[in-house]
Amino acid sequence: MTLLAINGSPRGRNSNTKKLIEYFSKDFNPSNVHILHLKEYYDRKDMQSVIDVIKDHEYILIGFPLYADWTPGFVKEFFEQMGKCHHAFTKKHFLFMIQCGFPESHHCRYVERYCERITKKLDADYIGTIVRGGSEGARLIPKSFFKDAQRLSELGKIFQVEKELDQNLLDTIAKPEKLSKARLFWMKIMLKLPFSAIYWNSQLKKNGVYKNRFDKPYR
Amino acid sequence: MKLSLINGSLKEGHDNFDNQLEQLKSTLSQSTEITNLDYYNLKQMDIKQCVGCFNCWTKTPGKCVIKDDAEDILISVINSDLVIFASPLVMGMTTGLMKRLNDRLIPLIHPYFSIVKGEIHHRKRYDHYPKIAVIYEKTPEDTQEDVALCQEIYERLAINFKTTLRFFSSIQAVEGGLFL
Repeated sequence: MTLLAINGSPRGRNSNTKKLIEYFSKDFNPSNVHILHLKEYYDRKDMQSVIDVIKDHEYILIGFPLYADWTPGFVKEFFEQMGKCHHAFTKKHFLFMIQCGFPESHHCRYVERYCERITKKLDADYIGTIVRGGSEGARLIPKSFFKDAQRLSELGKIFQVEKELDQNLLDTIAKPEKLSKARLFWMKIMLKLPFSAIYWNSQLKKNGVYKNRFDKPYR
Repeated sequence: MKLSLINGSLKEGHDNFDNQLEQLKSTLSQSTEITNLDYYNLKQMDIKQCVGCFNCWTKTPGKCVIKDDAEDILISVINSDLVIFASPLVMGMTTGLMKRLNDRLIPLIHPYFSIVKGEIHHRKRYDHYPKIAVIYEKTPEDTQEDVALCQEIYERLAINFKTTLRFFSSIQAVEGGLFL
């Protein structure tokens, strides 16, 4: 089986989505997985080429980061372009991967439903969606410290054989779906502490604009 | 009331929607309740895709570094009482063009997290945010489920933009400015 993996991150090759796709396809024979960075085709105004590549594959993964609660705009534009190619996807099998910076997967569930609907509209087969929250730092974290790297590879391995996504692994990778009451209680306290925003503060300080972090330039 | 009306229709196939929106706009501009109406027709503007650089959070706090027409819209949006995203549905959702603009709204919020209704969301940057509304037009292919999911997604988007969805209506339903 060959898999076409379309990376729908606006960050292209330097993205968390790409990293997660690589974990998923780690145990694939390199000749059996083809990764495309949609942003590069979008910038060249040539998304049609990606649709042409889809035509040569049976299994297609579309991965993207959650942007303002659904797909990045250009991924939606890609879906629109796909929608114009009637009957081009009838025998195709689609799976999706959605990741977000929020710790809970729940944020991604709405657009997950949209992915299922869009597959139906394309008259294609929907395999499922891999959802992972808390992924903003994925591209920066070494593999051994990224706790779901192994699980994603395992999911990919099973997928190669079964042509299905293992539900138990999907559920584990998606944890937490929502924050428990106990965790929310701790988060409330944590968010008041200065180190809770260290990821942002260190960058603000490095750029010399920490004191401007609450600026309201458009008011 | 200050109103920002954003048209996300596409160049092809949306003439009917554009005509109806034009009528709505002229009705609105005659309303005494509306003190300011900014209208943006996205297909005639340069709105680039947000690239997730986060410079608007870490380098130029609150300001997007991409130089195109989106900044004018951001200024209008944050100074409005109501922003209307007007878009025909394509493949069951508002257009990708409209979504590109939606993506560009993130300078208006803050990178820090806060807890809203038991979920993690971003913090406010401004004290006041406009209410959000969506005016759509569905095609025969769009089912009630599509429309309902589109509404749910914009309700989510409203939470992340520190506001609420004031209404979600078909363009026929809002003709004549009934929502005011």
